[in-house]
Order: sequence, then C-alpha cells, then structure tokens
Amino acid sequence: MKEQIIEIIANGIKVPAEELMEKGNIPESWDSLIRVEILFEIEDSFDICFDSEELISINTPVKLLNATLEKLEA
Amino acid sequence: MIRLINFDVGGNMNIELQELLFSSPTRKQLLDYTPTLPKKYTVQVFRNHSFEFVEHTIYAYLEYGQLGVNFEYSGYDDTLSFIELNTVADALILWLDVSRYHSESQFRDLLISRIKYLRSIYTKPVLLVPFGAEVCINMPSLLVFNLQEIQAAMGSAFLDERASAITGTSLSRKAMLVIAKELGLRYIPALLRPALKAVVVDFDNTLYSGVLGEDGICGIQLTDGHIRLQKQLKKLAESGIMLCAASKNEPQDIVELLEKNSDFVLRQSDFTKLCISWQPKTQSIQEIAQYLNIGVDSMVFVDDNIGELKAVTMAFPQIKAIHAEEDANKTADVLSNFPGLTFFATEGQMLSRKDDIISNEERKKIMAKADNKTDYLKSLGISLEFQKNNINSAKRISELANKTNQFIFNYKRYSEAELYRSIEREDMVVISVSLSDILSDSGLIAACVGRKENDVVILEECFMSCRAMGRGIEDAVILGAIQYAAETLACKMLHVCFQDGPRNAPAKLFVETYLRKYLTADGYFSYQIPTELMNVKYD
Repeated sequence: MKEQIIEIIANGIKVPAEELMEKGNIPESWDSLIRVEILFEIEDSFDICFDSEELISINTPVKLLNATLEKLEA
Repeated sequence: MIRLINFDVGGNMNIELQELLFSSPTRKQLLDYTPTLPKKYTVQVFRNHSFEFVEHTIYAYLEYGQLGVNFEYSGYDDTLSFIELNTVADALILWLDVSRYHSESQFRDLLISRIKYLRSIYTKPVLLVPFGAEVCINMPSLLVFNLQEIQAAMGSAFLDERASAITGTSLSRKAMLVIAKELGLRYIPALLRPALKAVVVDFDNTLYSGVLGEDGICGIQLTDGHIRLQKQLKKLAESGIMLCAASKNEPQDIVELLEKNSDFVLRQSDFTKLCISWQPKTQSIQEIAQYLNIGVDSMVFVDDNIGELKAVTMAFPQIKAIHAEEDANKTADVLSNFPGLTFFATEGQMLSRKDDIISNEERKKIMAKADNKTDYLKSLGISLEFQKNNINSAKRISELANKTNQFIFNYKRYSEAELYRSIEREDMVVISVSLSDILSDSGLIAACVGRKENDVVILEECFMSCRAMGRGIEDAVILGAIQYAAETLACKMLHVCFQDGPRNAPAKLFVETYLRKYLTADGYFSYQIPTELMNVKYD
C-alpha cells in the first residue's frame, strides 16, 4: 500500500521514489497545482476523502503519504 | 466502439483517442494524454476563480478536434479591468464565479459595462462562462456557456466546497471534467474554427444493421441506437448541415427504403445529395464536394467499413471521418459532440443553403435550354439587393467571411465585432449583397469592405458564397458591390488588395479577367450593373 502511494506521488511530481521520502525534501516540481492533482488521484485511487483542514495541511509529499496511510488504517 | 479515423498518408490513426474520449475517461487518463499538435492558437483566460484544473484535462478533447491551444491566464480580477489583455489572442474566455460579488445584479451591471469596454478594445471571439448565475447577453462575437444544465444533471456532485481552499474554485473535479469536455469538443472549436458544412453517411451497417441488397427492406434491423442516430442526422440537416449519402447500393433500393420503410426516421427530402452507386467512395465524395461546391475539409464521413474510411481519408487527408460499429448509440454520441457540428445560435441563412444547391441543378437545365447568357439571366428573374453598413447583417457577413475559402481576396476572417467597428468608422464601408431568383432566395451571399485613404478606396476584402458561384452573375455581384462602396466613400479610384491562398484561385481569376476590365492603369474604377438583365435595389 505504502509503495503504491509513493508511486502515485513520485509519478505526479516526476521524481524517483527514493528521493521523494527523504526527510525535509520538497521537490521543486511539487507546486500547488501538482499537489491538488496528486491529492485527487490519491482520493480516487483509494476511495478516501480528506476534509478541508486536512487538504490544507497536507503541504509536503511526506505529509500526504502519512495522511493517506492514517486514513486507510482508520 | 466508435472511432475517429484520422489516417494520414503515413498511417497515423487516432483510434485510441476516440475510444478514450467516448468511454467516460477518468481524470488520470486525461491527465496522462500527451498532445502532439503544435499550439497554433492562443486562448486567454480572464478569471476570478481557478480554471487550471479544467485546462489540465482539456487537451485530449482539443486534439480530437485537431486544435493545438496555448492557454494564457490573467491574474484573479473581480473588477474585469482587462489590464492584462492580450489583444492578439485568438479568443478570450471569461471564467467568472458570480458568488464573489455582493449580488447577482451587481455582477450583471459590472459585466455588461465591462464587456462593452472589452468589445471596444478586443474584436476576437469571447466566451463567457458564468458560475452561479444564468446570464443571457446578446452581443457580437460573444458566446455564453451557462452551467445550469450540467449542475441540474449532477446535483450535489457539481460542487465541492471541501476542496475549494486548495483548488481555488467551488466546482467539483467531476464538474470540471464535464466542463472540459464541453469546452474542448464544442465551445472552443466553435470559437476558433468555421463550422463543418456537410455530413456524408454510408447506409448498410451504419444507418441500420444489415445489407439492403441482400436482406431487403424488411430484412434490415433498426435498433434504438439507429433510430437515435437517424434523429441526430435529421436534426443536423434541419439545422443547416447538408446531409449526403455515399453508399454502394442500387439507387432505386435506397429510394424505396427511404420512402417505404415507416420505421426509418430519415426521408429522401432530408438529403441534399444521394450518391448511390457501385463506384469507389472516393469518387462519390468528390462528386458530393463538387455538387455542394465545398472543400472536403468541411465534410465529415461516417462509415462502418474501415477499408472505405481508409481509402477516403487517404485520398482526402483533410476530410473528417467517424467509424461506426454495431452500437449506433455511440455514433450518435460522437455526432452530437463532434467539433464543428455544434451551432449555438441560428446561423444566419444556413437553412436556405440546401434549397439553393438543389436549385442550382434546375438553373443548369435552364441554362442548357437558353440560347445565350442574356436569355438565361433574364429567364431566372434575378434580384440583387445592395446594402451599406447594415449592422443587422454583421453576424451573417462574419459567418460568410469565416467560411468562404474559394472566392475571397485576402482571407480576412472578420469577427462580428470587427465588422461593427468598420461599420461605425466614417472612412470605411461594408457593402453586402443579397440574391434571389425565381428558384430560390439565397439571402446574403457576398460582401466587400472598403477603406478611404487619400480619395482612394482601399478594397480590404471581398468575398462571395460558393452557393452563388457559377450562375454567371459574379461580375454584377462583386463589381456592383465595389462600385457601391466607391460611391459611398465618394471615390473614383480603387486599390485592390489580394493575397494568394491555398484555395482562392477562383477569386484570383475573377480579379484578372473581370475586375481588371473596369480598372484603368492609373486606378480609376467604373462599372455599371446590366439592369436590363436583373432587378437591382440599393438601400
């Protein structure tokens, strides 16, 4: 599951998966538009729905991974 | 499965794209599509809420209509200042969230005043997409895409306030997908390209299941999909598209089918031209194009047979083609969304086009019987009406300017707004010509635009509908219009602007063989319409 989420994010911002999860690393290609498209894809792929506060707070790839895992485990 | 066949000589086919677009594509599928066409057109988006998530999924639809578009953005601007206007953009989209204004009436007041201002500085087509209110504005070159119908169909799924803080719009991503399809297939092609003029359909296994020659009238099958497809074709014919047939059958079998099969929606009278024979379909397409006097690039060919489609599209790479398989519902879906087949307003005089073309056959018979051209013209009872600066004709003149390819001097594709501005200028004149005879009323068929400069008329543009060509009256129509323009501007000298184009050889021939007869070497122009041969009226 985790690998699948990472793959979606990595494909979205076009960086290798291993670079993506390095602590504190926010790739240049992670911008506000890409972020929304990746959030949409995550929601569609895993049939989950973030609330508005979560959507605002998910502002890095790592936060998106963790928030998605939390949703799926809940 | 319905396919848009886009064969080129190199065998490049667009089958996958057609399949994708008409099978409810996901957002991801549309995002993953990489457009291949160069971005020839620029569309500027003026907005007060986000359009980007519509843009992300629109390119596959635009590519299907053979459009490469570059979108440019203004900053978010509720005041509609148009400070960042790109005046050379090919079209403008006003993408406005009405809820950002204090009231709907405040929005309407602002909108009308700012669009009036916009019209004074920008003459290309404008598309208004209001979100949150239905807007009806009748202004030149302004198209309105109201979202109410989509909202009613989607219900609560139309909005997504939850995500609005990160998307910059209250529209849901599902709504934006639907809007991208509408914009990409219907609205943006209508802004940027002339409409198609003819649909050419096959019969066997396209309008019904079965082979008429083998199964007979009683043996062919009409499914609900075929009925729907035929209704769609009938609707297109009624809206002014010329419906034609290219079918390999016995002509009498087809005529009998159209008149005797009570389940058939289409009748012989719905067709402008039936080309029923055993000849190759490339020949039928050529005959139809000649009969209609239009280019094949204005036609879409619908056939179930891949081989036939391939032969036709190889012979005529500019023709559009749709492959119809067994489920005719899908063919109807494709037709109802096909770029260039959507009309958003009653298009001037499209309805008279079919009658006019059929009357041309009658004119040929009259010509064959007449002893000479004089007798022929007299027997037709021709009436020409010349009008100057008629603001009510601007829409039709603009349509004609954008559709005419053969008899046009400079390919100036005037928008309605550009014509309004020319009409208002004291140093310019727009002359239009309407034509009728005993066989048909062709309506407005030609126009010229002149500008006065140092007592000389600069003939900026001159164009005539292909419907009026070949009747032996080109000289009276065109030279009469130019003479009226010169008289209106009180000039005796004329400077003709002409630009060679891919298909305007008939106009060039006219300039060289007719116009030059009445134009002296030092630029003096004088022409008198032979009023003994036709009735002439000036406004």
